[in-house]
Amino acid sequence: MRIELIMRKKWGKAFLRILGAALLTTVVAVGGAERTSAVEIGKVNINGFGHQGLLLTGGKNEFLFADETGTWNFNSLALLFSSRVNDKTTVYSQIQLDEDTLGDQSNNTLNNSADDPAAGTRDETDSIGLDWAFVDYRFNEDLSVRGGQVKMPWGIYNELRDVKYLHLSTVLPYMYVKGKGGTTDIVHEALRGVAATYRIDLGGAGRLVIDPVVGEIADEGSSLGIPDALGNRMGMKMEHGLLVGGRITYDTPIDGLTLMSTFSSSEMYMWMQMSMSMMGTTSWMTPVEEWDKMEMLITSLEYVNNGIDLKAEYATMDMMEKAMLKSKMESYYVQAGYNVTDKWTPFVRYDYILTDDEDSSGNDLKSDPRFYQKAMTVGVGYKINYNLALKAEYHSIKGYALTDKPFVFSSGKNDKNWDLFAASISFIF
Amino acid sequence: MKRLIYLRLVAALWFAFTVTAQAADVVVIVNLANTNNLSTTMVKKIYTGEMTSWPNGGAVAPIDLDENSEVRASFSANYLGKTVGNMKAFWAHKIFTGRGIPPKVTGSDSEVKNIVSGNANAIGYISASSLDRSVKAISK
Repeated sequence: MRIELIMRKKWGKAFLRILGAALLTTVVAVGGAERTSAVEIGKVNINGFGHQGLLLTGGKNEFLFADETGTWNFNSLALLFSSRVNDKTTVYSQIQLDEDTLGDQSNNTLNNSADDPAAGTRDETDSIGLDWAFVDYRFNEDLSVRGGQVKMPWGIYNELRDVKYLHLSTVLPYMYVKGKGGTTDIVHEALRGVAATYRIDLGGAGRLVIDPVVGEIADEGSSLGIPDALGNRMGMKMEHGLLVGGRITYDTPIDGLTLMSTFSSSEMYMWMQMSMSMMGTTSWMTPVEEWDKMEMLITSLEYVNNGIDLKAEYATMDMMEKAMLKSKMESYYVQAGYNVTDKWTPFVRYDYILTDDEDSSGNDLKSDPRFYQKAMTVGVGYKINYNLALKAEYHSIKGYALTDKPFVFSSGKNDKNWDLFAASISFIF
Repeated sequence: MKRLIYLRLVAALWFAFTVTAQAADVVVIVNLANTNNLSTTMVKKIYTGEMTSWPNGGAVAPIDLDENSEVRASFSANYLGKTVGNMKAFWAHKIFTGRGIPPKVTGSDSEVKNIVSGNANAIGYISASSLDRSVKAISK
């Protein structure tokens, strides 16, 4: 009877709604989260991450091995082993499944060899790859040194490029995407050598973190172009020499605002060979090979605070000195997301990449869709809990510089305006 | 009218209880043999991985409570200035870039006290009401 009397009044119904919402919120808050600690075996901690994605393009273009029929070969699975040996020494090792049953988009590798008739296709071998492994020695609170195969501390995303759970989007910004068998990489993943981290406390002015590295890039790219309508194609192989570089991070006094500048200079060996088809016969021309110098610069801004997630980066890669190999790659993006109720994060991003600014004759390539790719992306992420996240996004794209048919010389094989749909489920533990 | 005022009062008290339960009174504890002079700044450095050695020597062994714990939520807010979710993301960045190992996680105040009392290098936090003589509390 008492409840009936309350319900007859407007404010009574409102009160019951508020009470019900509060009760529901309490139940969810107490019971909803999952335990997410690493697995521990003795002194070894095991963490991991992975993702499974679906990519689908519109039109003729193939990108990240996706076409109009779509691909599920966009996934990764990695295990990270870490162990604190003593108060100053920690050992890390990460292995990543890099095999076709999971999909080689996990490492974005393309099976390429100038001698391989199947060049330009997926790697059909199964393997488990060492992503990185190093020993970290901490001299004091401000200085530590790492030696081994380390992720290069480049920009915002490079060290975490495979951990999809920590990204807003399924597809990374173009400056981090490996295209055309690695020949369009601006940012390389790992380095065999030595890295250090040095922190300088600036008091009220914030903090500087300096990450120098020296060593050799731990991957190499090669590509054999798919023949054009005349049967001509080009093969290219790259190897890297000594690299010196580093990143400076400025944690500003403004909470959540970070600025970064990354620079590297490395030696690169390039081998190229072209084939010509005439009268049904294919002949390979004399290969050209030479060493060149490669310089990369990235400027980054990140603001993450109060639900806002804002990132912007600008990168250039110059291959200099040698006329034949001289090229300049340029890429930038601006990405903004907003976290709602700690679960939903809608975002937008504008991406741009130019894989070469001019040809060997000095002609401007900025308007040539073979050499640029721009995209407007809208998407949303949903964090199910501390382990699991879902993402979906739509890309509206112009140009096809990063598509999967490298060195296509004939027109008509790609759409200048096209789109991409991507979705993924990702996890960490 | 009196009935409505009573109901409003009950609702207000219920909300107040819920808020109070979230803001648990937390104490940071160390082993009885730990003679290091600890400040709240040092506690933050320990739980963000910046400090891994005690000034008097030995590897710091920080202990966290489960993500669901109100005590952890209170500790994160009051000592680290972050939510539990923020700290989870922070440590995910650190571990997957090879720049630190997160604190070990355990399920209850009694487990934290057992670990800390048995390890001279351990540090943890518990609700103030769980404090006993097996461990030493540091002042905030």
